[in-house]
Amino acid sequence: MVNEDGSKEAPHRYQTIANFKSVAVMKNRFYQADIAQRFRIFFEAQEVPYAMALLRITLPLVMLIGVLQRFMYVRELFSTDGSPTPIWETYGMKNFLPILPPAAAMALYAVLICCLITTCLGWKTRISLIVCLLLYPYFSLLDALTTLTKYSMVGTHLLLLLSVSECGSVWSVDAWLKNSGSNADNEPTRSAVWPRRLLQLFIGFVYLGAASTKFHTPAYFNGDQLTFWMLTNVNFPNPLGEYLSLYPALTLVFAYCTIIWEVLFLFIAWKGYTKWIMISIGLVFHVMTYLTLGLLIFPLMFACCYFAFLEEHESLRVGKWLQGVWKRTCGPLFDSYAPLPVKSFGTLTAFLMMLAVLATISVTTEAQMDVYGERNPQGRHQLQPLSTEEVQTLFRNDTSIHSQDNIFSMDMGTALAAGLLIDHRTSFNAQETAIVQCRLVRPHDDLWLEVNMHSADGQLLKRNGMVAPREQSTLNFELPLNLLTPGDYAFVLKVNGQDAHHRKFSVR
Amino acid sequence: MKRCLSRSFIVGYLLLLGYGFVSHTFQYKHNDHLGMYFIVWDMFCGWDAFEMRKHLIAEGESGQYYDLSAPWKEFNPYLEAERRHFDSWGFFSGYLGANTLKQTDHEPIVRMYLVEEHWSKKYNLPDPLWSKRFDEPKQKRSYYYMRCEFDEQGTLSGMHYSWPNQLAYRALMNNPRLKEDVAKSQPYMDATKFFGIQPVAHALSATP
Repeated sequence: MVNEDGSKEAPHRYQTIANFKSVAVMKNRFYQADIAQRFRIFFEAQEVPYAMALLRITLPLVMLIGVLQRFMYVRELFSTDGSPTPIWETYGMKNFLPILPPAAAMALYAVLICCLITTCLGWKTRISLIVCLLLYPYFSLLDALTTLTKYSMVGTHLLLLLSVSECGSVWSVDAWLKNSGSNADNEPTRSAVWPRRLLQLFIGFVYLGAASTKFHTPAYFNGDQLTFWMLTNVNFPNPLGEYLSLYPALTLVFAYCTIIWEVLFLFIAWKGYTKWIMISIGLVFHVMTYLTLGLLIFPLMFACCYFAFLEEHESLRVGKWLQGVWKRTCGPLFDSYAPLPVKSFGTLTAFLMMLAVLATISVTTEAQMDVYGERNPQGRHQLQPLSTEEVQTLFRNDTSIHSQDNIFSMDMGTALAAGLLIDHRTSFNAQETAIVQCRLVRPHDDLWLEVNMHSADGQLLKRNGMVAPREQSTLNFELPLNLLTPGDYAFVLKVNGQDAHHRKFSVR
Repeated sequence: MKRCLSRSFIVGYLLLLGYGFVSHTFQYKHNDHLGMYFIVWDMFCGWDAFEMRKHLIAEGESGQYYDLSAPWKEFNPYLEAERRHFDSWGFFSGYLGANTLKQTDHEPIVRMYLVEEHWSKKYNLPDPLWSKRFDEPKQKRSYYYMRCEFDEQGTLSGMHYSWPNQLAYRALMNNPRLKEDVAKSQPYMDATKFFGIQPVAHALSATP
């Protein structure tokens, strides 16, 4: 086989060096070529798909976190004997896809799990990926409440791109079976790079779309949106986010950094040091979404996606390193049980039989679980009646909020940046001007806010009032302290004449 | 042939991604079809200042009210809230309630209600952090708001404004001149009445 630069293809152990040469030649050609040639060089260059193989191995493991978690709930979430919530109904589509009876749903769910595992192992890779590509979005779309998220859609794109790639040709059971018969040092198959290129472009588009969403969200640019998200208790616990919510100015800095990074990613994450800067920021960003927002699968999925940015020699190095880690940790355990390559493993019949057996076991097991407690010795579950007090509370139908709940926070300091306090203080010098920042919960009425200065014994020293129109989310009161003698004082915040919050402070 | 197919795939895929981006950026038909959910990346939409939890209630023929949360172990995807709390817009709560009715023993049911409980997210601060920001002790205050009504089959029969919209509406209409003008022309903005609406797809795209 002859490379594009006319050299003969090197044996495998020299291939990395040859690739360097090949890449250099390709680069020169790329800059000299017209658009059609550039397209060919960019999408149709040949490489061993190590990067896609790394994605193939890691992505199913990440997907399995969410998929296995729902295994016990298939009947309730995805079958006619439960309460599926198909997303297509919100688009006005009835019966877009069939909802299956419990046994069939369970069987298909078991097939999905098996195929994710076989994808990871690289056994019947293409078939496994196509099955996952059909079943993963199907089950996601069936449960709009808790299974369908944007990472389900990202995962679907990744499965699509993996299924059109040759990711099963290296580091897979398929490759092991293929090579098991021959003694020769078989060279890995090379294939066109376009699935990896599309994956890179896809990631860039996702980030660009996410940036576009933020541009549509004004509350993102004053820090409110991120602050409220960090305090939302519907994802995994996120104590760092709760702590950071006390410092909205810092949150705003992260918010601006994020949007700049998201916009730039598609354009400069291709080569050189900018690639590594973009990917490093990306990894930090996704780790922070776990720590501050409580996301888990989404950041892991994107960490896997970054394998697409590794060139052939880089992904080979990562793969070798992972192999080394595996050998050092689990190698001794597995070496003694390593199966011999049996030709029949490679047949479709063996694969289908395995799926059928595991699906049958799953259906039988699920039927024994008695999800709804119908075989309870005490009989079926009873509805729990509500007490009169509970009914009165629940049917209160509140339509307005307490004045205190119009206020999200009341902070004190002396310096502002981007309209937010950057120094949170409770102690001031007499020469300073204190800034009391009130952040409001929107939507709110037009409000009259007062921040009054009181002495330690509660005596009113000074009144300061301001109107907060309904569109305003932050109000700053600037209060000179030069008339105060050293001692303890308090700011009392009133909303429409009612006490909302008190903050003590001292003057030195 | 293979090369032709791969090139078609590349061009088609890129056109699709590009269309999704343009459609989303310019808000052009970005929620027209289910397919748009696959190519629009709006991972950061609606996190407002109130935390919300759902209460599903059934009204029996006798006038007794029942708690419709599942009596079996309900799915809890992120350890913080059960599945019923993720129905932000109330479209699907009827299905959840109907399934609970189907799987339990009870008197004949005439109606189901979805009541939302809201509280300011400032109360989600853990106590040590609360004391850094406020001098007063934390006293969480919840608001209960009737959102949807369903028949005994779980079919949506009425839906009220969302809680933030209700607050915004109230702020807007708290204006005697505007109130008078509306009353003079057409009193169509009556927030106290239920009204049927068509589900809106974009409502469900708020999760990352």
